[in-house]
Amino acid sequence: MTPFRRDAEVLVQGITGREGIFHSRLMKEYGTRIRAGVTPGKGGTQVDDVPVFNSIREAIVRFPMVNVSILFVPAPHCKEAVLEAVENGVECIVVITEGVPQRDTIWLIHYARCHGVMVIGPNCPGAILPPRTKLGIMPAGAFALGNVGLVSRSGTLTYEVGDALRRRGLGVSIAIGIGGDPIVGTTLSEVAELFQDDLYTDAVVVLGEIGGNMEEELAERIESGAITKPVISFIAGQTAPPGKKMGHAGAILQSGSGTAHDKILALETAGVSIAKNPWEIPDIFIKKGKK
Amino acid sequence: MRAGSLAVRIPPLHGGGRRFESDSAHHPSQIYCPVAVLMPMRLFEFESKALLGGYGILVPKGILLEKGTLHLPSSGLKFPCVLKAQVPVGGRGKAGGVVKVNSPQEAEEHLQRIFSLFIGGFPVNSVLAEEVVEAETEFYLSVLVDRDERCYSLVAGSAGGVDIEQTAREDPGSILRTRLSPLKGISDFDIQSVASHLRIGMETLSPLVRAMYSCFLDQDAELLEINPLAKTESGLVALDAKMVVDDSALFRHPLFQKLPPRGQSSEELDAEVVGLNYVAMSGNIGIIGNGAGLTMATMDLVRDKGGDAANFLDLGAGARAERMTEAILFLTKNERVRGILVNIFGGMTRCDEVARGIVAAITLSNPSKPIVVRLIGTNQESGEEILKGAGIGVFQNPHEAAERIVSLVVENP
Repeated sequence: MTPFRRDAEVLVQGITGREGIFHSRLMKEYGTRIRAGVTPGKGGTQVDDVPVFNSIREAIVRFPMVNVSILFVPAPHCKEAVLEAVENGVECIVVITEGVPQRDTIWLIHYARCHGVMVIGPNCPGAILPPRTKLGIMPAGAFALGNVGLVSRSGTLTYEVGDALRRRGLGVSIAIGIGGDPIVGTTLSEVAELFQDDLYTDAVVVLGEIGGNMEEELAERIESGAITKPVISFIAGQTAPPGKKMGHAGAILQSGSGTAHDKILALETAGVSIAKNPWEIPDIFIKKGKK
Repeated sequence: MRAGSLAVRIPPLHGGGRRFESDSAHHPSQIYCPVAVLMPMRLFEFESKALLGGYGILVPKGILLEKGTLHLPSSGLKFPCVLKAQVPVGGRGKAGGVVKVNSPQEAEEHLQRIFSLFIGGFPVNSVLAEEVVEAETEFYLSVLVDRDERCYSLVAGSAGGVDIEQTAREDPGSILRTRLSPLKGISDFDIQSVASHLRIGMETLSPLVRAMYSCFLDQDAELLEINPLAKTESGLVALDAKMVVDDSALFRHPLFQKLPPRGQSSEELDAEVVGLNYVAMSGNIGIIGNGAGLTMATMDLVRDKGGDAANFLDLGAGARAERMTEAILFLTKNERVRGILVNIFGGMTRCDEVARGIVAAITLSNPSKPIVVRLIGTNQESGEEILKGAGIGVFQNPHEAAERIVSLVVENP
């Protein structure tokens, strides 16, 4: 259904940087099939047995089945790196990098979409499919295998909720952090629609926050009948002051729109169960299960 | 009257300035800006106009007056003039920051008054004096990042000088929003619909819109707004201009890196100097979390338990002990903060590092304010041990931690 398959073959762009080395090692330890790394000028070297190439073109000659690329490339080079990945036919690009200029983000999202390529991020933790596939930087120990599709605008909240579910004997089919920037490649509702089509996902958890209209858009998709699986949501930033960026560039209240209140109202109207805080999400599941 | 070059002379505000250069005919010959490392978000009107001038967009003839200047240079402008307070917020007209003057005496009176104003919490450090431009008609025009549609939009309003959000609610028919494909760029057919909407000829409008779009892209703007845009005998003139730039793109704009900071409280500036991701709020419970979502959720939880957050402070991913120490010391110095709640989920961040940072901060400052810690995740056991060894209570359950800090702060106001 999605490029997020447990048999994904992965390429890491920017594998020789500090973050690239560290997280490639962790992904590999978890069981992800990291096939190759790319860093211009570092071709011919290795990072923990993973061969490094100067360009993706050279990498795919050796590993033609690579279908996912994960980017740890510094922000000024992200646009080029995404272009290279798209040109070389990967299906999905996960941009971990923080601080990509909006002009570059907008351009690369449109470019990738024109070529039918999915972009997750930028400024995101990526995706995890327990028990053995991790396409990102989340702490794997927080996630157990289960039937909940988890999608979030916040990294740490994804881990918190994954962990809270795990402690109560629940787990996730896929958890995806879409990124905290105002403009991201894949939105909450787009991921929720992927979950709708996923055979291993029975319920959806959406962790939203103030700013933008992604949560409202999700509410519309639910009301239109595109998403019928049960959805539970928490929206962060109910006490955030207007006009301030709350850590994420995307978490900002502008001219009275994008408030937590509006989002909660829209989602509740669409029949979504709203959690007062992220830690009570497992309780809602358990209560629903007993009914 | 000829609306043409903007003659702006800006002396350094805090000593030692640097040049802000451009070589266009319409650009001011010299603008000095003070050196600063902190980011600007919203440019001042005179800065925006200087940039627009560089793209060939006409702006009124004007002079920038620094605080303390009480009369217009004799060789300067023709009366009537308009005096405009330079502040990085809207609503300056309502606050008395914009006034039309007919004589040097009148200008002097008003300058004294305007320089003493605080507009939206900002002191007026400079005033832009401009010759009045006779407009046949006024419009609204902007290019912006359309967050919801993930593209750029060109917004045109048939009335100028208006609050565009209010107009959008009250008279949506007067506003035309044209989405621009970022891959294609701007085309004549995009501009054509705007020309029809505003009833301006393409030959007049097209160069202006193209110049705006180039300026918007080149400068990595999030918003470039000309409001009002005046139709005059000599062409279209930008009477007021507002520009917000993307702080993520500052690395490729050395010019913006040198501009003084704006839009933040002094508390937030202090936090930025020590490298903390910080937003000041009005409550009395200091909040430290890791990750923006978790930190916001912690603020929300504290309010649920009957308390009020004094701030938002996100340590970010993988914080080391020193950063935690710095964060606590920063909050203990703040008199508004009566107690601190630390809420950490150890993913990339290691709980033992966090615990060591907290103990170090307490050893260094011996604060009288209570500190409550909720800590789970990577290396949780050793983190708990370190904190318990130092006599600090540690929770696993965020509800209990939030209840505890609220009751401690309420008991010891």
